[in-house]
Amino acid sequence: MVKASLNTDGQVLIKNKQKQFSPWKLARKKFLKNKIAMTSLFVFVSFVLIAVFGPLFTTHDITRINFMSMNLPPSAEHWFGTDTNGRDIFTRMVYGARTSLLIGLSCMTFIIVIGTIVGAIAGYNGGKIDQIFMRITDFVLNFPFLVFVIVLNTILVGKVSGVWTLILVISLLSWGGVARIVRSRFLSEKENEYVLAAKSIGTRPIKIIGKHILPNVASTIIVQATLMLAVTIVAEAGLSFLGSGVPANIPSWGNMLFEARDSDVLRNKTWIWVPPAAAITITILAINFIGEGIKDALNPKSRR
Amino acid sequence: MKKKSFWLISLLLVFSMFLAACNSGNETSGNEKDGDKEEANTGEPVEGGKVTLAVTTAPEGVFEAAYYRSAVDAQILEFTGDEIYQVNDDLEYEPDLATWEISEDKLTYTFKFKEGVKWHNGEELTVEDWQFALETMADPDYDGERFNYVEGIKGAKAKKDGKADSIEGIKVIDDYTIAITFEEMKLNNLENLWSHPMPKKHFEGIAVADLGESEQVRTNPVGLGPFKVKSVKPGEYVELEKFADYYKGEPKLDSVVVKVIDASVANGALQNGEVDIMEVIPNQVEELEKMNHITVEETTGVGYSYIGLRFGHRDQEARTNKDDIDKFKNKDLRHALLYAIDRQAMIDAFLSGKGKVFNTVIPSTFWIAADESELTQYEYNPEKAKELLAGAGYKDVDGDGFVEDPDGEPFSISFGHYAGNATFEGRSQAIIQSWNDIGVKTELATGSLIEFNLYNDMKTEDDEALEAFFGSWSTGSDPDPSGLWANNAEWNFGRWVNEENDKLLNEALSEKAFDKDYRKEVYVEWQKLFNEEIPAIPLWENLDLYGINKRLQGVHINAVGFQTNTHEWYVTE
Repeated sequence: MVKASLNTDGQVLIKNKQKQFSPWKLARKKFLKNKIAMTSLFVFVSFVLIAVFGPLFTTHDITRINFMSMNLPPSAEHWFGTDTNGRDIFTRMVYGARTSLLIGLSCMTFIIVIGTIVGAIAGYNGGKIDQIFMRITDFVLNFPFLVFVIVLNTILVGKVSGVWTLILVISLLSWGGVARIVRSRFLSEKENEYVLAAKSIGTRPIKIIGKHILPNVASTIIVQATLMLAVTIVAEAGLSFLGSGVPANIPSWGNMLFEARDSDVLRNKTWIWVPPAAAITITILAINFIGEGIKDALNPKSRR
Repeated sequence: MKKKSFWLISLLLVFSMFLAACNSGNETSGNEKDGDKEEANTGEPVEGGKVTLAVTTAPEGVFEAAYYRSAVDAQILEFTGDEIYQVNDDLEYEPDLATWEISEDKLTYTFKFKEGVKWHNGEELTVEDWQFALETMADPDYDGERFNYVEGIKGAKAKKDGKADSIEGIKVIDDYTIAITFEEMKLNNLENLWSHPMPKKHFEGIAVADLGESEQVRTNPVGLGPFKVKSVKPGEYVELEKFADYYKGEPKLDSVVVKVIDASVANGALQNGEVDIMEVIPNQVEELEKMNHITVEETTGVGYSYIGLRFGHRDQEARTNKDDIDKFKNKDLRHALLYAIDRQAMIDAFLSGKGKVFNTVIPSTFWIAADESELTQYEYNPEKAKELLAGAGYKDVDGDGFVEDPDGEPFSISFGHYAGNATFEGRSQAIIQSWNDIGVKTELATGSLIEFNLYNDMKTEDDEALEAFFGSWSTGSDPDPSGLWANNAEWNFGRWVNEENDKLLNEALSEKAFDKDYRKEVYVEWQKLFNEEIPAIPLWENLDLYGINKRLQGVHINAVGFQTNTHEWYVTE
């Protein structure tokens, strides 16, 4: 008897699964139907693939100054032409994608991790701990971002190698917003019965935060993550354009734009700055569309 | 969603089309305007007229030569002031406001002032105005930075220390004659003597300590030059109007406006006629030369670039340099580093060709410059560089493609460069790559270009990261290189110490060197020494470049600037 009933239960469960999708599955389905988001995802993924595998196929040297081939317009040998230092722009674009995406992705990871931890602790505990953590967050949010990044970057130069200085500095200054959003979601989420239930049976707070609340606020965090990715890529480009981002000898999209500060390049040698500018624009647009798509997909109320 | 994004993208595309259209539109209309101007430009001088000089940093507004700090204020003072002597095209000192005679013992100079020279407020210039300037600058309360220009006068130090009420070495003979006695006999006493009179009556009643901040200096200055300050708008412009009673003749222009603009819009401002004259940098030139109504004037200036090599440290307390680093002691290594660099290619690439390779650190415009035939030319020759390295014992022992030093230890150079202009990245990379190519491992110090002020601090403090460093100097009109290259000079950043060096530099300022030919001979010897030793790697001397609208005529350009005889500037429309 017991065996049989178990069997039927099991069958019912399986049947239910086939009819009713889990929220994640539903979201995925919705996302797959969203053409713009899918196109954007395709574009973004191909950029990432080019960044990762592209350098295996390129032949031009990205740092070597070549006096013989400066400022050449696009041709069969140099697809996107050469820059003012005689380096192949296409190759630099590929390597630049590496740097820019590396910075974007690592900053995003750091920001989300720090922001989530701070927000979760503050939101879950409330009271004094909340006060302390939120004042620290306010403090970080109050820094004038660009000025502070430039100063920190100048101080840290030479102590941490290459792009990691910038990644560290941007991450340390940008987690404030994420922390605030995560905290507010935690504040509202912890009032739910399932949290109360977990508390009452004596689950450790760290487990409640990690296993019970976090999955429920994950959608917010994921959307924030995509936004942060776009923001940090722009920040890198902006800082490098101002000359205080990535070290000048490492190609990044922002560093390549730096050359457009020369008015002669800006007006007459468009092939030098259009590719990185276009790449940045397309990447940012793609990321934002993906973020938008995820937001729609995870929102149970949206019927689109 | 789909529709929204479609519109977004199409909007973006449409906007970019507009931008592109605006761009090309501007260019064509600009060219048409040029054509018109060309026709209207008959070349005949016009009465009066206004000229705009652009500067890229704002003037501080200290309009008194003894107090100014910024280079832009100096340019304005060139319009409003005049000096005892002026520097001619060959960088020699010529009488201007006064003529002078030198006594037998070469210690006393007697100056005879021109009569009838007027200040902007109508007062007549007398020697008392100059005496007033010298006394002010030796005053203990004087807070400007130029005491060194009166330091050499007998008794000036005593006054500065509060031991005397006036400078012993100044003797007023009559309204137009004054005798100045120096402490020691030095050849360049005159070059180092303060040459700007101060309007004594105008400054009457102001304590020396308050003078620099006073209204008489800041907003209502009085000078001797062809133009006087009319109005000052801090951070934006300074308007100058002509001074009709100027002693060399009434200025042809009515007014000159010194306007602050951003460097990135400089070419545009010259193109549309907003700016008539400005100092430009090499990257701007290519574009300017395409404009019909702009001439680009160039002249060999007094500035040069070099790569410093670190030989030691400076003892700031004792004010001496000590060569205690052995890295660059080998002369063949230094020669190899120079042979490795294709300097002409770098000038063409990074300075639009506006530079001249040189092999000492005396720009060719100076009368003391040695003839090229007397110096080794060090033309680009990487093969020779490799031979020299091998000959000196720098060989690749461990097979990594880079040489080790004669003891077999790894050898590498940390090369520093400052940040700024867009071409600096390529320039520093080119130098690093040249040295790597001959097998000398070179890395960029700190991994990136260094912020300019920090870089200067690092140079001053002998930072270990700067084993080799890019440097530039603008020397001024005094040809004596001791300030930069003497053994114990503060600005001898490489800390190069060489017995022969100081011997020659001192000899060139000795009594015997009052004979100009002899002095030149000594300096040529010094240049040969530098050329042979290569204590720093000379790269190129810069050309000074000016973009000038063709409507502005009569501008005389020489190595020290473009502001000689501004009263002769005129416009043609």
